[in-house]
Amino acid sequence: MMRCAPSRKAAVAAACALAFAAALPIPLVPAGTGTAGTVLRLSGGSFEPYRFAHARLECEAGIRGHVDAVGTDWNGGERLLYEARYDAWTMAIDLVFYVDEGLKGIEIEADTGSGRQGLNIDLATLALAKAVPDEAELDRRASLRDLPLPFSSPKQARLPAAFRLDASGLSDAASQIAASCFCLDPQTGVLAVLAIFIMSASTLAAMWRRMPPRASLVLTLGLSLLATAAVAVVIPREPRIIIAELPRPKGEGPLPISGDYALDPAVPDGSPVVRYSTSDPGGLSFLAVSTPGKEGIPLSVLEGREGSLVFSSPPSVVARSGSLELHFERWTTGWMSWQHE
Amino acid sequence: MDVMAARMSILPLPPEQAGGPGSRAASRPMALSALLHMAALVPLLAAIALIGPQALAALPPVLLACACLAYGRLAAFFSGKRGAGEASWMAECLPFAAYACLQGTSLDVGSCLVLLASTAAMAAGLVSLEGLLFPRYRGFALALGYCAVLAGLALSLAWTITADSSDPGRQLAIPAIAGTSGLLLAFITRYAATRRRR
Repeated sequence: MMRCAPSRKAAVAAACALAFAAALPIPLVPAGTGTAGTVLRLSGGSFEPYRFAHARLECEAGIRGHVDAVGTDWNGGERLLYEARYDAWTMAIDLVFYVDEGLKGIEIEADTGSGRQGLNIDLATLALAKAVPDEAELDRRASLRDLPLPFSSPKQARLPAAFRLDASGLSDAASQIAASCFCLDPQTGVLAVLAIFIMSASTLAAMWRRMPPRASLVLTLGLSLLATAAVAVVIPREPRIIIAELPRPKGEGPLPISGDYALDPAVPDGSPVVRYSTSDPGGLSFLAVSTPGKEGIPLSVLEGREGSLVFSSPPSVVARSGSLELHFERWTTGWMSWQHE
Repeated sequence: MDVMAARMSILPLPPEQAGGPGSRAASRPMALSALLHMAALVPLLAAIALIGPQALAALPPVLLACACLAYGRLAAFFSGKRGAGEASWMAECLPFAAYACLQGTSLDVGSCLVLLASTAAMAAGLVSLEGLLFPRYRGFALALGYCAVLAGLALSLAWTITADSSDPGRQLAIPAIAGTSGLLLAFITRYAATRRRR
């Protein structure tokens, strides 16, 4: 799985360019379209990299219908940041999207009372309007930028109840955690359906061999369609996010990271969240996400601690039936960092 | 003439050797026929289960479906079936194709089944065309040629769908057009074959 963000050199160069340009007196004017009173306006939102930005989108003509925000990366790529559908008229809606250092601009489009309206936001210009990030903020960004994101390799096995981590560094720790607990449940149900289908089809083919070929074809096709429907129903398509907290480091530098992990019993069965806890958590968690279908992970799972997040492939936020969901690529790894109270 | 020799030399076969009611296959004990049939399907299931979701995810669903249907076409060749027998074998591979597609892709179930149905319709159209063009001939080269043409169609369909991923309408519209074309081809060739027999 490739990381979508631009190379680190490009990101550092972009950050330096922003820092130098901060002294220039460029006014911040988000570009909007439409006549006065009907344009989209965006307010709020810190747009700090590696966090979820919460902003308010307003339009006096009212908003109803499809709303989406598409981000443009520094490398020219585009990605969906936010998507929602509003069935009732509203004057303002809350947008949530994930921002990282690879994001250059955001284009928001919404169905309003005066037609489809758009709003372009240049994050570079927006950053210039704010104070230059302090040393702590730059350190935070640099540490997140440098976190290793291993190639995820889920295996078909039951989740282990416990495992031991003995890693030489963060990269090794991430790889070991992914190898130990990034598991997809064995698809016993589907295999059983297909085994029954093989036996039925073979028996019936032997019985039907004296039938006219066309009648045999119709019966075989019917049985196959039935089995296909059963596979589609039985195959597990639920998303899953595995969160494993790393133990607190004992000193400075890339020291060995070791600890015993146990499956958190507080998480109920059937929940998309699987947590592995250790005795002395250090404020950094490794994440592994599997989303085999169109269902997403609730945003609240990752926003609970108001930490910083970095992903191998940035997610999009989708508002569905009143709740916000995170939609990832098929398999994604990431890190979540937060400060202890 | 031996059946295998007839296959390899691409000679016309008498109807009793073409998998019909009077064929050698029909004279086998029922249990043996069932076992042989089972032995042909189990490797397909084992292969999909062993390949695993990560490797399956690297391939477009249309191509996975095409691979399963091509397996069915080859199984039909080795069991000496033509026409409706071929189609029966390929239909039996549909649940395996669904398993392979749904295991690997992040598409929703509905879109995945549409892609599967489109590939199956294209395969059905090709079987009918093959029956029209080569009604009494068989051979491994013909089976391989069929698989190659189906793979080519599936690759071009997969490429057309993903060429502009920003347009979600393409994900369903293009497979729907391809599937409908496949069905139309099947009906037209069946009609032409019936007219020719008269």
